Amino acid sequence: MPTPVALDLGQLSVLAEIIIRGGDLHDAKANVRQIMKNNYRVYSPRYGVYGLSVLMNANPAQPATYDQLAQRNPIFNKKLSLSVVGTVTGALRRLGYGMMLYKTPAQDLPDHHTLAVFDLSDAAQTIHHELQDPAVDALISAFAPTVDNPYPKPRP
Amino acid sequence: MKKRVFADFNDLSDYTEAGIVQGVPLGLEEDIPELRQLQEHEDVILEMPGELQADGYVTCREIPQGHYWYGVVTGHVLYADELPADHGQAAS
Repeated sequence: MPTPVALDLGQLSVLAEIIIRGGDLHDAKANVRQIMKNNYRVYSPRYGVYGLSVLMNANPAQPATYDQLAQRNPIFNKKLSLSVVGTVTGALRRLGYGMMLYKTPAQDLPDHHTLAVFDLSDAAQTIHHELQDPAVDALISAFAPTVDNPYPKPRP
Repeated sequence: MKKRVFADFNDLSDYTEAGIVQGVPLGLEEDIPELRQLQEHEDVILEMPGELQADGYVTCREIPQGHYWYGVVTGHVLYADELPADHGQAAS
């Protein structure tokens, strides 16, 4: 099993690096909170991490728009919720959480990353295996706007 | 009636190390007790509740951490606004 690569957030342009979460995190008809909590607790056997699945440019040396990320990583979701690294980290930090981003590419998802949280008060930065409600709230607030997916994956 | 199983389509891909084509990792039984109700190759509806769903089946792999389940998409992907008003709700 490969060692998961955690990004050094200090090396990112936190106001420019786009993070995408497939789906509309503000859709009142979808059970968004449960979807996020359920996804977070899915362990990755390939990388050995827990966390929320997101898309982020795997090569920060070559900036990518959300349009380009959507085209490279086709998913079924009709909507995409957008944010930038700095907004997500800020929203989590205000509620006492730190954030780790792991590079976790998959065959069809070259820009797949896993967003994991820990308590800022924990010097060991122990990654949570479940997403707590305040962290869910922070993430939902951070991911805005929502846009139509310009390249939804063709349905079989 | 087929079981409804939570599946996050943000993870839909091939997972060649597990022999999975167009699948979604569902997780470890040890973490997600609902997965213990599944049977190998059981036909299910994979869904992100309120957003989209797909027909599929589930399959288990033994990994060092325990019993690990995948959902494999076989077709019939529907968005929530395409579903009849009386469609079932997920059990998991």
